[in-house]
Amino acid sequence: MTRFILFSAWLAFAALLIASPAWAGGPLITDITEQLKQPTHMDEPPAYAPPDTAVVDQRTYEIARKMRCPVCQGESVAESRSEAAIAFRERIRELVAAGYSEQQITDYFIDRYGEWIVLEPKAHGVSWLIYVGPGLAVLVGLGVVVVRVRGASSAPTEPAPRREPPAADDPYRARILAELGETDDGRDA
Amino acid sequence: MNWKILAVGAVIVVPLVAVLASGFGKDPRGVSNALEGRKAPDFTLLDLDGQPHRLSDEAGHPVVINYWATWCSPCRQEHPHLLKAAEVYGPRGVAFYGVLYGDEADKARDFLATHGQAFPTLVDEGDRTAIDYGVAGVPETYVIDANGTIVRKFIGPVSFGELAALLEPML
Repeated sequence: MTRFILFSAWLAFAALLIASPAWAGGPLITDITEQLKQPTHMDEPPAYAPPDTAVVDQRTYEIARKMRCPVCQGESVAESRSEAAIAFRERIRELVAAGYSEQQITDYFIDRYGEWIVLEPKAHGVSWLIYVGPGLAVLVGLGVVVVRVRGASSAPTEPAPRREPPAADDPYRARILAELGETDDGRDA
Repeated sequence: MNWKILAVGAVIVVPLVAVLASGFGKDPRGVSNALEGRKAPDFTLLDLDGQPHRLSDEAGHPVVINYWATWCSPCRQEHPHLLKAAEVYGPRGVAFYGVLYGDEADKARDFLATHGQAFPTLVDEGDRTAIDYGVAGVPETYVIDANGTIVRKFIGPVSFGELAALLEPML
């Protein structure tokens, strides 16, 4: 009986020990995990409530597609298989899952890497020419065409100047005919 | 001379040349130093021995953070400079940290055992802290003043002289 009581007491003590927070991922482990939780380093709170997983995947891809992989040659973060691109995608996913908008996330990366990090730079400074330039060129071209067409239609139509047939005694004509072996009236000499 | 054609040509060509000229002056792969003059992002990372280190605990001291990897040859080149800087300025109150970038802890341990270690190397899971610092490759070194402001970001290998020139006035 005494053995049974002693055994039960040990069992209860062991159960308590296992269930205690210090063993079951208790304060010690939680402390480190909490410490290692990195701050978001975002200037503003998230624009949205945390979205569903499918939306997170889609938005992450959309943002990663427009971002330059920092260690690649002209590849986006979505396409590249480099470790840096994987880290970028993870960071984007984390921010999207927290509810941050595309603008907020893009701003976060531009803030750290500069405008260079986005594949489509914002239209300011000289880069606005990239966006405005082609439209401007088309407009200028159309303007030139319109002016030309109007000029052509309003100009008085003059008959084309008649070309006088070369004179019969033209020495060059006589020489060509001689070489061709023809007479002046078109017959073979 | 047809002045109209010349004017139209100039309208097209001059802006194009301006765009190209502004681009030629820059390195297309050049990384910005956007964080210089701004507050250093705080972090808590474990070192190779599993000890946590928090940047904000170093408040009041200048801090040098070096992002590196064992596979990066310029990192090997700058390693003796960092060791010397840590030996000279560590006792004078400057905190030095290495942060491993895209590399494995075991390889870093082997490297440091061979080449020497004068400050903790931190493990940055998923390069999360590196992104917060705008790291686009290694080595990159950040010098942070006692107020926690990033005063300089070095892209590429840093020398003892460059670090000394920045750290001396802070002490």
